[in-house]
Amino acid sequence: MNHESSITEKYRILDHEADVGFEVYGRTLEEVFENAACALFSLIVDRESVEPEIGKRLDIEGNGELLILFLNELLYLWEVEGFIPKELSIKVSDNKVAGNVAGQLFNPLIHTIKTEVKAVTYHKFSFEKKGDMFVATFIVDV
Amino acid sequence: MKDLLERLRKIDDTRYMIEKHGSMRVDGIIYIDEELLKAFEKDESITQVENVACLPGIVGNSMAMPDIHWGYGFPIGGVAAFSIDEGIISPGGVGYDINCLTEDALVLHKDGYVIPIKDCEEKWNTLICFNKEKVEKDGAEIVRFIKRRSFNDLYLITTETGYEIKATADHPLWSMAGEIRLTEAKHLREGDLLMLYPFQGVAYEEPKNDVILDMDTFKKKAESFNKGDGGNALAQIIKECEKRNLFPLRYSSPHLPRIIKLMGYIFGDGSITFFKNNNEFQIAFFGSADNLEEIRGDLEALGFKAGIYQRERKHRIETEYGEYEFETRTSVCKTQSSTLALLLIVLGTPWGDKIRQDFRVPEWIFKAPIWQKRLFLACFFGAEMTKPKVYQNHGYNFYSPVVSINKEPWYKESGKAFFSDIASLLEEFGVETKKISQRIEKVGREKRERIRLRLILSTEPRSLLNLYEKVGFEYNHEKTFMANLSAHYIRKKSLIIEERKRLALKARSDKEKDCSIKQIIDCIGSSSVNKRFIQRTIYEGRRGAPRIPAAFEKFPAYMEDITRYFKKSGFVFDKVVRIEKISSNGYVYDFTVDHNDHNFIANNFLVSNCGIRLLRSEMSAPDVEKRIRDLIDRLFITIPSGVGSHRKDFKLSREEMKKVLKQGASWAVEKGYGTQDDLECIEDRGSIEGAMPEYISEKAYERGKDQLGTVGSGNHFVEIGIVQEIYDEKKAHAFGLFKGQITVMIHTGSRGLGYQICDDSIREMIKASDKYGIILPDRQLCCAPIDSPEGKRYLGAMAAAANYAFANRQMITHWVREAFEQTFKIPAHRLGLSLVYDVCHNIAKIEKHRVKGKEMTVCVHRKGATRAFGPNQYAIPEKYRREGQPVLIPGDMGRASYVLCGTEKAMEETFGSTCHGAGRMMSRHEAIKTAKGRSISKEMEGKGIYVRAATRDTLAEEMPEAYKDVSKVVHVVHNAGISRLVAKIVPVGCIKG
Repeated sequence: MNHESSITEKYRILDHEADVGFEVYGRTLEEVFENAACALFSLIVDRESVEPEIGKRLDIEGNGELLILFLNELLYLWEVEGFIPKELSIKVSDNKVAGNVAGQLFNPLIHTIKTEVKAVTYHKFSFEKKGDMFVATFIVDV
Repeated sequence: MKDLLERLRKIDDTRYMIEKHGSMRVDGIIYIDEELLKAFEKDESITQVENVACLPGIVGNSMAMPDIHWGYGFPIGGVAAFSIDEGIISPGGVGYDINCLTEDALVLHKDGYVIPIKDCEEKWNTLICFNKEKVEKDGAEIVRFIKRRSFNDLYLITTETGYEIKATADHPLWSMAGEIRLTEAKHLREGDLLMLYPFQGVAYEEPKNDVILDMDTFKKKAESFNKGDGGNALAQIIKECEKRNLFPLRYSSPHLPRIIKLMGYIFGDGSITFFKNNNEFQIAFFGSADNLEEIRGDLEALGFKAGIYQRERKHRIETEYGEYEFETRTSVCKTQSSTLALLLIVLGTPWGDKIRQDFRVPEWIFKAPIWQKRLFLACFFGAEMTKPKVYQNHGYNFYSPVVSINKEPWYKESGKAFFSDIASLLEEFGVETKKISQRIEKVGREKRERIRLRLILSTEPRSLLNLYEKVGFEYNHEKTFMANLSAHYIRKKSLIIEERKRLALKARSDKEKDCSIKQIIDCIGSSSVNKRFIQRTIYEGRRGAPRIPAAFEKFPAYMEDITRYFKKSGFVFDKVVRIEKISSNGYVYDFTVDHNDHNFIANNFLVSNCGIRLLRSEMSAPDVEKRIRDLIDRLFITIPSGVGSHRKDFKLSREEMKKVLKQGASWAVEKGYGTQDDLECIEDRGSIEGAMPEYISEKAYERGKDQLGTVGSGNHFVEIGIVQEIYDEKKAHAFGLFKGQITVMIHTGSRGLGYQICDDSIREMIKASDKYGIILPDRQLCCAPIDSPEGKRYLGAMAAAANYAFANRQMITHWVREAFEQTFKIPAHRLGLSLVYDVCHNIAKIEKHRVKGKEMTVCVHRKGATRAFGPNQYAIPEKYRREGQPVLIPGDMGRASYVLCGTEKAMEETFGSTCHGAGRMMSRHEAIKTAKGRSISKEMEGKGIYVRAATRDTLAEEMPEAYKDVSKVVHVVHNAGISRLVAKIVPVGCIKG
């Protein structure tokens, strides 16, 4: 992996038989989390059409794989409230992710839905620091 | 591929066996034929079948259907049954190679000594492990010890500062990658960060049986305290000693380690006071509350009650520089036991005011095994030694560790003698003393003279390392934590210095060979030396060893880095520098501990609780041909499908939801969706017993409340088809099927509720697997005994999700009937839209089966497999009992679906199970790519199938080529005799999510 060049890719899709996998990069923990959310929701809606209209407060604690808890929380908000996240300003530490997420409620006139995502799985999940970059891999059940 | 075939032994054209081997408890059987086997590229699924066979309590074989493909843990298309008593229920699947360590791996015990793991068998003890939740060091009891021969390769992992560990490929090691998690040895790479605990302790030495103190000697010495009460007090004390079996006290007495620890601390920051008025002793320990808790624990383990109190102490000391007054709030742990006090005193602990008496390190401690000596020192230092600290201005070097005591001038020599005792004990650990210094201090208003003696230890790296790694601290968490980090830091620093030394030498020798500076720099090129270093080395020469580079991390920064993840647990991380595979031909060991975090990262496994139902009708193809588009459009409008689909016409209250979860399809019928007759033809009458809605989380309720009556997406659908072929007239007739008939197939599941339930239950299962000592070698499976609270809760939650799915399909059936009514303007019952059958695809059920001639209640796991009960089974509707249960196998979009029938053979061989459909062959991503430019819907229409999909990509993802050919799958099970083909249905229209 070429770390020296500036990172233009936020994430990469990994091919997987039944589902979709992502490899997400970031220079800081926060960046990885943000890019992961980006990757995940790229499956669900066309992100270009989403505006950061309303904000939500996130406060996630846990000692499981924090990234998975975080992504599943976003999925839950999507499913129950129709909330699509666009911009995140979060702080990741120890066992907590907290901060704000700005996005929009689903509007069939503006947004096109692509796929249903069931959940982010623990399977083959990894979160590592490679050089001066963080790399996370996770598989999404669609 | 060759490898794959080697593991499979052909039994007949449709059955292949994986013979029991390794940790498998039973054989594996895969129902598949040669043709499908050829297309089988990944042998991961086979491994999964093997893995399932390792699970405890498995009954019969670990089976897989021809549509087998890789799944989370359990292969999809996997069937296995477990006995209720010994067996487990698992959301996933199990791994194969048990992860273990080699016999020489040293395990750190709570008492600060290390034992090679192979010796742990006899000494079941408490060892140190990492508590991930609290991020601290913890003790854990060993629950189960494992030893077995290993024939697989081992990995020898070496870290930057020289730690080495040998482990099997699957052995999980705590590593650091953004967060703390377990990584299997085989997945470690150079540069990865491994977690380690720097403190090493000392080798265990079996203590001798020599007597330290016997009853008579104790009595004699204790008598001298006894003044005036006629020997009563002493008699009491003797009684207590007898009760606790204290005498004779030997080096091997189980109480001794704790006694040594308490003594060590009292020599430092504790006191034993005799109160003449009550003829009572009081022992006090001073320190911070958290440390005192540990002391109290040890006291109580010895059988002596103790209490912890807060107190304020005013201090005023006068030095040459002036008077200094301060107040501290300290805690104190007190115990009133005279027995203990006398015991400690007789053993050599000073009592009363330490500053005006002689005391030395008791003789008998010098004869103790090294780990007991260590306990004495570590506790004494825990009380009295300075905390490891670096010089503030540059942050690299450590202050000398110092122990101070005060003595009245008369006792100065006594104090020095005591310190030289300590120094000679320390020598044994390789810790050097720099000097014993003394200073006069004036204390109090009267300006009394006191001598302050200081034992100053060397800061030479080797000596410091021995101090912090081998001796360390006890009864002081802060110092222990600092010692661990300091030790590791010193090692890292030493590495750099060594490296620089080596490079300096190389640079000089290269210069001698006439290399240019540039060449030398290029040649050496490392992060620990730069051009300037090399130049100086060559031109200016060096006096003494090279210093560390300015760029080297200072200790405070290093500490911040570590504590960020590990807080004050004392754990640090070290970089892996080498991983080698070495062959093993010995034993490997492991154990299970009773601790929440000796768990393994389990992979998720989603139970989508999906299932399928088939409706028949009295209509034939011509009746419907011209109205297909209308019908489909109407269905598309009435039944929400697709991502996040939810109903706008009703939302369920919590109470109502609970009923749905408990009653399933019968709730729907009660509400007017369908009839009682429908219930007859659903697996378990659409309502699985034992559903426990109270175990469903808030989140699951939120997700489920307005998704009832929706199709969802992915491969879920409502499809209208025509019976194209009949293979078995008799069975077809029993099922109400005829050629050319119009049918409706509904394939959907429990939607968001199901996913949430699964997510919630995974975490529970992870903890449970450990709690019950279930070894999860591959960690893709987490499970719990069926009989346990966790197992029952999982069954209860799963049943609730399945009931939700039944209710869902029941409601959709109702709307399908309505759509038909509205399109054809004929009442539904005249159209004959009745239910053929409704089955689940992903579920574990408690059923009675005949195993080896006996009837047994088992928990049958069918993952991506369908129940296929044979004739004469009470569980199936009366009208089908003669023939067997209908089995519904959906094809994928554009390809045929099949109806089969369960058989007696299935009951015998597969616990009444068969395949469930096609498996995916192409990833969704690939499918989308392949489909680019093609209009799948147009292609479908070209074939005469009208499709409406709610989401854009669905059509591409679900295109036929993405799936295996279901007809091939179905033929295998038919030929194997576990289900018999009844009818083939081709689609004419469908709505998809």
